[in-house]
This record gives sequence, structure tokens and C-alpha cells, in this order.
Amino acid sequence: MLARIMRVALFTTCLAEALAPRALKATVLVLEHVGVRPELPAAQTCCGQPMLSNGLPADAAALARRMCEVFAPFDAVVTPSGSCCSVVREKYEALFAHGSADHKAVVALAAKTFELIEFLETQLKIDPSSLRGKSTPSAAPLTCHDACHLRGIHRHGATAPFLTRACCGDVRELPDMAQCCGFGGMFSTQFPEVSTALGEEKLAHVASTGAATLVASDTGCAAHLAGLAHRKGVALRVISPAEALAESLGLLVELPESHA
Amino acid sequence: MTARSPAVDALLARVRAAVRAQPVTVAQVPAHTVVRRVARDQGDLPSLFAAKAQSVGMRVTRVADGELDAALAKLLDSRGKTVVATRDASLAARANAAAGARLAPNDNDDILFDCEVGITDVDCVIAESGSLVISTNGRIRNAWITPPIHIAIVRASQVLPDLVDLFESRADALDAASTTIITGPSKTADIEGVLVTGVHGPAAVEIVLVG
Amino acid sequence: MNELIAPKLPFDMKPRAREAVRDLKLQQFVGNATHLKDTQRGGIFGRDFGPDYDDLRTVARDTKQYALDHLDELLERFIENAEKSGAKVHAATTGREACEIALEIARAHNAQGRAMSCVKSKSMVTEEIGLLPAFEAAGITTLETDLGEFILQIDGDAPSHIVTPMIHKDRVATAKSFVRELGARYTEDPTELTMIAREHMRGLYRAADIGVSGANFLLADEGAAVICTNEGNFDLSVGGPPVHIVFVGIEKLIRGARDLAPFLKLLARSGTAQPLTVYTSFVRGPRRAGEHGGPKEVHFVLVDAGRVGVLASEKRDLLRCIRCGACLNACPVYRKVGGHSYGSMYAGPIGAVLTPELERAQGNADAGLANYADLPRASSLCGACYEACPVKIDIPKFLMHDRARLRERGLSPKSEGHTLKLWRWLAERPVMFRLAIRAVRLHARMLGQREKTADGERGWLKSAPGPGAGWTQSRDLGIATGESFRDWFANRENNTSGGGR
Repeated sequence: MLARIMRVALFTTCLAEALAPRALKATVLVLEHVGVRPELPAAQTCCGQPMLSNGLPADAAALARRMCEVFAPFDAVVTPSGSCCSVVREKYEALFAHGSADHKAVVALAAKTFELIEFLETQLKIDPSSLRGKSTPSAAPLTCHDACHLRGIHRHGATAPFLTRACCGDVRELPDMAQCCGFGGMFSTQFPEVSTALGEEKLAHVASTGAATLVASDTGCAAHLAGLAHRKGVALRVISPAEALAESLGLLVELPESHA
Repeated sequence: MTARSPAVDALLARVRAAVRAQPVTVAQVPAHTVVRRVARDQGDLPSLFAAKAQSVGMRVTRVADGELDAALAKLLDSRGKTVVATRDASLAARANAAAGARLAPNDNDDILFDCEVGITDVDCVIAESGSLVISTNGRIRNAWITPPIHIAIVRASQVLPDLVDLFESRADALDAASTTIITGPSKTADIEGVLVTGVHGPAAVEIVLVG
Repeated sequence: MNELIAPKLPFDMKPRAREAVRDLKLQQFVGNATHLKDTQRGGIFGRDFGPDYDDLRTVARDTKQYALDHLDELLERFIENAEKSGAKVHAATTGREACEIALEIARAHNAQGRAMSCVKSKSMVTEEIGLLPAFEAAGITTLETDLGEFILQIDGDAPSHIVTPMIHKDRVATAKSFVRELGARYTEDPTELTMIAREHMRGLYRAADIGVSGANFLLADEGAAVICTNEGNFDLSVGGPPVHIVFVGIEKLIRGARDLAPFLKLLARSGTAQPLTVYTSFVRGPRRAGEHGGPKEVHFVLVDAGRVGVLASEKRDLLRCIRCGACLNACPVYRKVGGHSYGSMYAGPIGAVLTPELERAQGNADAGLANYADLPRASSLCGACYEACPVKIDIPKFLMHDRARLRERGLSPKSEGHTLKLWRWLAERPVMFRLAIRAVRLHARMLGQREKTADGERGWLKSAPGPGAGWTQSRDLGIATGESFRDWFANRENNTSGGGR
């Protein structure tokens, strides 16, 4: 299979390294499970999304160039974080003059960068139900919130169907999933009341599904919602799609003392 | 060409400069094929029109040629006292005969506010949206707006398939001081999203589809 | 002009946004109405266009963009054809000039110097130019005939949505203002309230000297204007009075009726989930010989008020906007803060980019953005607006562009800028970067509330410094404090066994 000769790099993202290392572990385990050995370029740091979204495009461009260098040797770049993926895929191009060497480099990087579930489904062409035989569905019901940034790469709404078919147990539809959770990067600290109100609305929808676990496809969204739930004393697990898949496949276990 | 005001000339000059300040992104208007929803050769257009017109809240009575007068009589009768306004002399005569309707004198622009029913024919109608197309050509302006009831006489041969057909083949309907495409009775949902009909325009639109 | 949409500048959005979020009634009204409209919008496009919907948007985008890219030609053609039909065409660079043109027209019809009256249908540009205050000051009593605008007018309120202006207002406030201003009996029933308004307006229509309207589109080929309404108030406002004045932004121009269909099919579906508005009216000059009724004079006032500046700028795309309101209904921020929080008659996503831009193009260098510095930041960049826009305006792109401009001009929070610069510095030095992450994890391990969860060890921070305080005022920040990912990965490479915790 192509996967064996392809060099695949894991794009960790700075947020996931600080806030969601388990999502990264899960990504590695899932990829290995389907026959891909991801490599970890040590020099990677940050994709520049916070700079780009907050009016510092030149700083973002510097980090974009760096990303191209770091990931140059690889055929594919996979990340569990939806927004960082979409920055590379959609936003880098506008930072450089059309036709310049930098522009060509970011276009090439964009062409080979994928969110994990997207990579499995559209690049490795894995039929999720083929994963089913080996899986042990979680007892607790799940619900999925897809990050807004998945829209641009046409993956918004793709997580729940994939996880359902990969037999991740009882996957319940999240009402009004299309509405933003309110994270929005620094928007969360610039307009905290609005950000929080949107987060509370999202959590209310999650609660209405009866799900004990929320699968959030972006680390930022996950941190915002988990942080809000924790402050309010609401018991809710917030995990990444990578973790949901890894748990379902029996590659990752929940720690015995599993209470949030 | 009439002499333009300096302000208009100045605006044109500024716009000219502004247009040139950015590159042209679209040099040619694309084809509008995707816009059409009802094919030119769609069959039974009158039935499609009737269904759509009803779906937007207008009532449709289908009659054969020769049954128009009876239909008008029935409509006007069921409204109780009637004061109608229509400019079309032959239509007026029929309305008069049909229900002893009192025809408002049409030399007073203001009279429409005292009328309970406005009867008009149409330039054409559109099956796609169930819409009436009425121009001020040869009609009393707003006879289809001011009175609370509007009766529209439509001939089956006047049904166009799609909105694009109005612009493609009935430019004459737009060659008047004003033309209105009517798609239902007047309505609003401004107060808490509650639908209310008959706000300013007619609360009821009765279509008599002949043929 | 009402302080709500013409606030003191520079405009501070945050207090209004905070108040709006606490206003449960506003939350309920605006939240429900916007959700409903947005869902219905998706439904009707799915029903009527299915997979062709995106192509329809592309056609509309390109057709409108063509018009903007050739606006000078189209304007010439429009003026020529409008004059041929007997209409008069005026041009106003500023809102002030536009008002003066209208006052001049009114004076020309008032040789006796009596008090005049005017009836007007809904028009955003007349809000921009402050037409009502100008008319009232000149002794011309002006009635807003669109029901929503009428209710706002008599209650001293201001519109908060481009298409459904009183989305924030309830029936009780309406009922009270009707009793107070019209001497009507008290009723909260929307139908009864509407009929009270209708009766009040009938007489005023008959007596009006001037009819004023805006226009949704201008057709160059025909020299005509197109106006889309649901109530019929446009046709009543302009069909009776001897003079009709159309105020319209120059960006409303398209080639002609031959290009109109895609916009008509998109406009009402996008705004209110209707296939067409109830009335789509064409105005093509004054009453003709042989016609009965209608104005004897039709005046087009072509309004610049910053539009030429936007046309010349890299934000030309913004002028594609057909004022459908779909982006407002789709926007999570608008849903929470409502239209008055934007301090302009243009609210929501389009307002956030257009308001500063129109201001800028009318004022000095960056007066616009400096006066509305909060607007570009009041967005999570979720992209729902771009998805909803029938003419594919990339609003998120322009928001980011404005954020960069704010940063360049030192109008963004300094501490944020320092944090981001530091972050970049660290990100170019991988060893330093990893040290920084370790420092954060250590901080959380020592000072955070430690918890072992199903997802590993976490240190929950309850308060954070600088920009982080905005986060911790309502949320905890859960830093992972167990084994770092890189250590885990490195240890695996050293051992050969797989699996993990």
C-alpha cells in the first residue's frame, strides 16, 4: 500500500502540545494501526495562526516559511487540529506574491496537509466500517462538534459520520452544530462575554444530547468548552476525534480514575 | 444629450478614476443558464402557475372561455358591497353587468382609497413563482395595490415558464413608468415574526385563470 | 440621528455587547429569529436549487463584480436611459449634499411655502445620510411606511437589522408606543397592531407631497430602478404623490434587466426564505402620456458617501452586497449581541467591514477604522457569513485585513501585540519554544488545580495574566501536566513496544 512508502509527518501544533498531548498520541496510534508510521520533525513549533488572525501577517509569513522548510522532506503532513490544518490549506497562499518561490512552497505544503480524519478518509481511502471489526465501542454516548475552520476544507460535518461508521459507539447528533462554539482564538479573550455566551449555548446543546463525551475537532474549541465546563462544575469529557477513534480501536484506554 | 449637472459630471469622473484604480476581476458576464428553474418546454404551464400562485396565498379560479362573467359575478357578489376600479372599458362593462358593481370614476387619482376591489388584467404571469406581472401601461396605477381586494384576470396564453422569460422575451412588460411583479397578498412579519397579511397592499388576491 | 446607529465616535462596542449578552429578552428574540431565518434559508435553496446553488452564487458574484469593474460605463448608460424616460438624475458626493438635493426638489414644489409631508419606504442609504432629521428640520413631516421602520420611528428607536429592522423589539413595546403616540387603544395582538398602523397611514399616503424610496438595483440598459418589498408600502408611497425621489448608492447598478434574474432569485431566499418578495417593482420614469396615476416627476439621487472610495480600494468586493441580511442571520456574534451593538445602520458581518470603510472613504486617512476599531475584532472568524453570502463576499478575509491595519496604526491592544511577537520569536527557536511549553506545563503543575482525568493529568489554571485574564474570568485553562508528547514519542522510539495510555 502506498502508505508504507509515503513519508508522513505529524504536525503537532503548539496548542496540542500544551493542551492535548493525548490527542497527538492517539493520532500516532491510529496512523500506525492503519499501516502508517508518522515521523515527528523536531524543529516544528507554530503555524502562525494567532499572528495571522490578529493583524500580524508578516510574522505569520515568517512562520509559514518555516513550516515549509520543516515539512519539506515529507509526502504528507497530518494533524489532529482542524484550524491549524485550515490555516495551512487556505490562508498561507495570500501571504505571498503569486509566482514567488515562497508562494510555490506554501501551495505545495497546502496540497499535502490534512486533518487526521480527512487523511484517513480521502487520502488513505479507508472505509471506516472496515475498522469496525476490531473496535470496542465506548459505553458512553458521544456527540461531535466540528470546528468552523473545517468549512473551508469541506470537512465540516464529516467527523460524526466517520466515527459512527467506525463504530465508535452511540454517536448522537449535536443540535445546531453549525453555530460557532465561541472560541475564535484571541476573540475568546477580547470579547470574553460573547465568547462565553456562545460556549454556554454549545454546552447546553451538548447536555441536551445526553452525551458524556464531546468530540471536538479542534484543540482550541476543546480547551474553551472543557474550560467552561470545568469552571461550572459540569462533568464532561472533551476529546479529539483521534482519541475517540483510538479508544474505539482499543489502542488507548481511559484511565481508571475517569472523572473530569 | 441634455446638459448634465456639474455634480453628475464630477461623479462620473471620480467613478472612472476609481474603476481604473483596481484590476478588472471579471471581464465578461458569465452565462446565466443555472438561473432558469422551469424549462421553456415545460408542459401545462397554467396548472403549474395556478399551483404556485396558491402556494403563496393567492386564490385561483380556473374557468373556460365564456365563463369569465359568471366567475366575476360570483367573486364580486361574495364580497358584499363593491366599489371597483378598473380602466379597461370592456372589463369595466363586464364587471358592471356581472354584479351591478358600482364603477368608480377613473378621472380621480385619489379614488382608489375609496375602492374595495381593484380589477385588472395582467401583462403576463410567471409559472415558476406564481407571480402576476402588471404594468402601468393603459391601467390605473396601483389598482392592484390600494384596494384591499385585487382581482386579476389572467389568460392561459399569458403564462411564462420562468422569471428569466420575463426579461428575455417580454421587455414590453417593463416598458412603462412602473411595473410590478406580484407574488402573493401584502404581508409582514415585523412584529415578533408573526405573519400578518393585508398590511398596505391587498389582503386578498383573487386570480381568475381563463382558458 | 439616533444615537444607537450614530453613536459618539470613536465607538466603543464592548459595553453594548456586554449588555446585550445579559439581556435575556434580546437573546431570545434575536437568537430565535436569526436561527429560524438561517435554517429556512438553507431549506429553500436546497428545495429550489439543490446542487446548483453554489453555481448560482458564482454567477451572481461575477455578474455584480462585472458591474463594479465597469461602473463608469454602466453609470453613463444608466443616466442616459433614465433621462430618456423622463427622470431627472442628480449626484451627491456626501450625505449632506444628497439631503440638500432633496430639499431643493421639495422647495421647487412649494411655491406657497406651506408645510409639506413626505411618505417613505425603507431605505438604508436614507438612514446613512440622515434624511429624516434633515426633512423634519425643514418642516417636512416624514412618515416611515415600512411597518418595522414606522414602529421604530414613533418609539424613537433605531433599526438593528438590514432586512427585519425591529428584530430586537417586542409587541409590548410596540403596543405602548401606539397608545402613547397614536392615541390607539392598547392591544398586543400583532394583527391588530398592524391594522392600527395601516389605518394611520392610509390618510397620510393620500395627502403626501413627496414619495421617497431607496432601490435594490439600478438597471443601466433601462435607466430604471428595482425595489423589492413585502408590504406594498413602496408602491403606495410613490404611486400617489406628484414627486418621487429615489435615493440609491451607486453600487446598486447592474447592466440591465437581462442580468436581474439571479439577484431576484437570491435576494428574498437569502433574507427571508421567500422565492420572491411579494412586490418587485420597476420604476422607469414619471407618468407617461396615456397612463393614469403616478408621479409627474421622478428624481434619482445617486449617492456616493464613500462608495467611490471603496470602489477604488482593495475592498471593492464589498460593494457586491445586495443587502439580503443573510450574513447577520448566520453570524454567531450578531446572534448574541444584536444589531445596535455595531453602532451603525449596517450591522453584523457586512457592517463590521463596510461601516469603517465607508467612514474612511469619507473622512481622513484612517478615521473610519480608528472610529470603529472594535468591529473587526468582534468576530471568531467562523466563516458562516461567507458561506451564507449570495454574492460570495469573503468577509473573514477583510476582517483579517482590517486587523492588520489596526495593528499597523497602533490601535490594537499592546499587550496582545507583545505576546504575539514573543510567541513568534520563540517559534523560530525550537529549543526555546519547547522550553516555553515546558515552563507553562510546570506553572500549571505547581499552581494549577491538579486533576487526574480520563484524558491524562491536567493542571487547571483559574487565573491568567495579561490577555489571558479575559479567558479566566469565566473559564479554567486546562494545561496537560503529565508526560509530554515528545517524551512519549521519543521513549517509544527507544522501546519497541507500542500502545499507550
